[in-house]
This record gives sequence, structure tokens and C-alpha cells, in this order.
Amino acid sequence: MDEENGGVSWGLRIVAGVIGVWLLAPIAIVIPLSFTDRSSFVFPPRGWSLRFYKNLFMDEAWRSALMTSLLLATVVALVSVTLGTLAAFALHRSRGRWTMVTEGLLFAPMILPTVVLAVALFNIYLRWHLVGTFIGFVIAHTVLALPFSIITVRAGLQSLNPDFEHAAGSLGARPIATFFLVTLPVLLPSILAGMAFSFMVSFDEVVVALFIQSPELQTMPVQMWTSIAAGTDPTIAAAASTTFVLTVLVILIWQYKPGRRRRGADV
Amino acid sequence: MEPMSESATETGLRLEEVTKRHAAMTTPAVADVSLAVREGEFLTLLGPSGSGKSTLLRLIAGFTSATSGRVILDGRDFTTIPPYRRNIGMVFQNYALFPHMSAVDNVAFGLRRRKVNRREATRRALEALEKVDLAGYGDRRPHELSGGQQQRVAVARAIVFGPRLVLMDEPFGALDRRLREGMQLEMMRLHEDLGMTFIFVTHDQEEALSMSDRVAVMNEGRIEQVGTPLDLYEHPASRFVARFLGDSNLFSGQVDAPGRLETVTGQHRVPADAGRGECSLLVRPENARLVPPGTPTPEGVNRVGCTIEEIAYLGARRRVVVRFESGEQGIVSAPARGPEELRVGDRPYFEWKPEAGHLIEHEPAPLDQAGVEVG
Repeated sequence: MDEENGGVSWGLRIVAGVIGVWLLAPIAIVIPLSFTDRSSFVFPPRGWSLRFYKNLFMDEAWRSALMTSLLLATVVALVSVTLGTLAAFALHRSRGRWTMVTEGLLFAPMILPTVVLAVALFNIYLRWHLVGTFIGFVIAHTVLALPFSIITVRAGLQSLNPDFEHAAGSLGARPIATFFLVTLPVLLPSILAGMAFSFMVSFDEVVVALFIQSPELQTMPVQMWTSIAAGTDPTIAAAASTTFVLTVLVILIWQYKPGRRRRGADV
Repeated sequence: MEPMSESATETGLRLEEVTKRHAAMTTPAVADVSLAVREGEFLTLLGPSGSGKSTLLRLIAGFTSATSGRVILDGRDFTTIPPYRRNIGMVFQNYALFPHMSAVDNVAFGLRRRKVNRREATRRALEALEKVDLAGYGDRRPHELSGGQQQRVAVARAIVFGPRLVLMDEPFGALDRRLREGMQLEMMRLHEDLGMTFIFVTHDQEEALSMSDRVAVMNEGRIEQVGTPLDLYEHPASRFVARFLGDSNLFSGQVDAPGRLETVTGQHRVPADAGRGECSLLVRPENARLVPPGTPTPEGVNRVGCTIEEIAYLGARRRVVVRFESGEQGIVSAPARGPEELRVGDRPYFEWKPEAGHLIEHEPAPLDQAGVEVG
């Protein structure tokens, strides 16, 4: 953002503007719609109320779905970034011919159509009695989120100066101390980015969730799906708006946190 | 406290036939290097890129392990000791300052690892920063410092914990010339003050000659010669050393009688007890002069005909590039204002006194046969 505006041509500004409007237009509809006072998707709303926000946080189905999703996404983010960091280190440091194969396998969930993965998981979960369980959701979403963690942490590792670890060693730090005092802090922006991606992958995921959900355990996207399939309930607009505001807040905090100007290390 | 000494009184660093082979390479990166560095000495490893000098430094630091041979510090075998137990400070070309820590935390890092309490570590770190002229910069992050300042922090970090040895891997390679010269002077002063052993790696021969007590010239993984700068410049042991340090005129030939070298362009008088068999005669540019054709030859000097190809004015002196009758290139350092005017295309004599020549006996098989080289 510190580049001067003078360098940007008008053509580019117009194109960027059009794309911006294209991307943001749905939000301009969804947010007003979430404050409507009647149970329909009529736009613009005739009257205003907070009843659907109340519904979102008070109604048992919505509330529990939101809580499940937040908890699930948090657990997935932690598991995914831990495994992803370990995998990124392993891939970064090994040179064998199995490295490529392992890499391909780890990234497969990104390439494979999600429906295929969902059906496969559903079959296995039926046999292993994991359908409708929290642990089942964690495993399924971790598989989907893992590639994002690996990619971001690996990018961080690639820009990590290998002499940092040598320097720490020469100063008397054992390998464990070097990892926690130097390597990990330097990689932290990448690791946090991996965590944020993983959180979003899980929080957003509907296809696999539809297969492995049960009436007792539903995530937010599943609840949204059900509500929109069943009829017209503007609670979904309230849910969408809430999610949007939360996401924007996270990104803003990320952008303006102190020490952000560190060179290179951020992804 | 001294565990397993080779000899309890030995101090300094000793390398014994150290070899490092990389799996994929046919030639070793470091080949059979033996070297003793006295305590308190400033020794420079000098060589072109790929000569193994950085690898050797990393072996001493313990970042990489020797394929064979031993590294002995103060009489103790360090060959398999990990870096964190070596007590050796290291300065890297890319500084390698920890980006998430302030300058003072970077410097205090080594002290903190040695269980010095935070307050004491900070105090000593600030003191070390003062020593490298960075008082008041302690709170800055590395990215808020210039290249020269970052390297000073790196130097402070490497010396603050009182290491046995300080290693520097081309520390000023990324700095511009003037800054580099300033840093060189500062390192010499610091070395004097601290009395620590410094091992410095560079490919810049001027840097090596001006800073060091001794210089080890490396080529293709081996040490070609170790000596004082003067020694290396005046008495190089090989053609490589002669060419790598300063400019040189080299005439190769055969010593067929004591004091006489037979070359393709004629016979030259050389110091009588200097060498035998296949030899190269080295004449430094400042030991030769150009005399106009037709001047009578004084008794006992050597002369070779040449053509002036290029004259570069350097202020106090002129650097004259000539081509000998043998077709080889030569170089003369002439006064900026001589009695005779020199012009490109002139055909003067290249003249030197026999005692100014230095004979280099060829190895069993010299690497190249070229008669004269410009370093």
C-alpha cells in the first residue's frame, strides 16, 4: 500500500473498480436483507428489524450450528497447521525420490473433486462409525485444509535464511532452542496464514459436511443449506453478514497488527 | 575442567588433514588441509569462489562435518562437537540477524543461551553495541538498520560472549567500497582491542593483504601457501599465488645453470640459489621499468622487448599493459611523470634487476603453460 498512486494507470483503475463492484455487489444486497422485518427475500426490504439476528443467536438449530462450526474450524486450524508445519519441514529438508510422491499425495485433496472425496469418506465413515461425530468432521476437514497449511509454511521456509539456524547454533542455542526461539518466530506469519486458511476451509465447507452430518451434529453451512432448501428464511442473510464482518475484522487486524512491515516473511 | 586434552598447554586452532567431500561432487570441496592458527592471530583464508574457503570456515564453525581429518581448538578435539558447544563466534555475509528481535536482543542472544540473566545480558549487549559504534541503536529491528549497521550488530553479536575464535565469512561482501574500507579498519582495531583469534574469509586480495597477520591462499580445496602478506607477495610459492595476489609478469623456462633461466625469448639472470629445473620467474610490475629502445644496457640487468598496448593513469602512477615478443601480456607500474613520454604503440624494453625477480619452481605438472600472466 505504500506505492504512490501516480504509478497506476486509469485503465487499470477502471478494471480493478469493475472487478471490485462485481465481487462486492452480493454483499451490498445480503447485508441490508439481513435487517429485513419479514420472512421473505424481497429486496430492498420494506421494513427493518433485528429479528433474524436474534433468531441466529437464539434459535437452537442456528446457534448450535454456529458453535459447532466455530469449534470445529478452530480445532481443524490447529491440527492442520501442526501437521502442515511438520510436513512442510519434512518436504523442505528431504531430497529423496519419495518426496515428490508424498507431496502429490498430500496435495491430492486440492485437486480431487470434493464430491468424490465426500462419497469416499462417507463409505469409510459408515464402516468406522464416524458419521455424525465431531472427530469425523475434524479428520475430514483436516484432509481438506492440510494442503493450505503445507503450502503457506513451505513458502515461509523457502524464504527462511538457512544461516539463521547456523547463527543461533554458533551462539550456543541447542537445536530445540533454535527451533522455538528463532525458526518458529520467523515462520510465525506463514504459520498464522496457514491457520487462517485452514479455519476458513473448515468454516466454509459444505459438500463433505452434507454427507457426514447427522441431525445431532450440523455445521453452519449445512444449516444454511437446509434452511434455504426448506423455505425462505432471512436468518441465512444474518448468518452470511455475521460471517462476512468477522472475516473482514480478522483480515483488518492481520493487516494492521504491529510489526507488520517485516520484510519478506509475510505470505 | 579441561576435558581430554591433546596437550594441556596448546592454544589456538589446529586443522589436521581435513577433507570434506560432497556426495554429488567428484572433487572434494576441502582437500587435506592442515593449518595452525595461533591464539590472537588475524588469519585470512583467501581464494577465488569455489576454492573451498567458506566450506573450511563452516567446518571450523561445526555447521558441516569433515569427511576425514581433525579440528583441534586449544588442544581439544572439536571434530564431532556440535556448533552450540564450540564457543565460536560467526559473522555471515548476509548478516543473518534474527529479524524478529531488536539489535540488543540479537546481541544478547548468545549471553542468554549461556544463562546470563536478562538484565546483565542486556547491559553487556548494549556495551558491545557501543564498541561497534552503535550506541542508541539497540531498540531497532534489523530491517530498520542499513547494511553497514546490520553487519556491526552481527559483529557485536559474535564477540559479546567472549568466544575462543571469531569467524567471518566475507562479512563486507555486500557493502560498497568506502564502507568496506571503513569496516576493515574497524575490524583491525577491534581485533587489537579484544585480542581474540580472527579467521576471515574473502576473495578480495587487497582486503586480505591489508588486514591480516597471515594469509592462507586457497585453490581447488587446498591451501597453496600460508604466510604474512609481505611473504606471499614477494615470495609466492606457486604461479597461482603469484597471479592471485597483485599483478604479475611471469616468464616460464628452464634453469639450465645456476643463476640462469632459459626462456623462449632468451636468457635471463636470476638469483643463483633460487630454483632448479622447470621454473617461472616472477617480476612484480613495480620492480620493472620501461626504457626507450637504443638505450645502452647497463651491466647485469635483464631486458625483454615489448610493445605498449594500454596506458591507464592512476594518479600517482600509470599502469602500462605491454605485450612481449613471446606474445604474452605483461604489466608495468610506471611513475605518472617519467623522464620519457610513453605512448601506446611504442616499443620499449621491459627491464628489471635480477635480484628483483623471484623464481617459482614448478610443481611436477604445472597447471598451465602460459608464459606470462596478468593477475
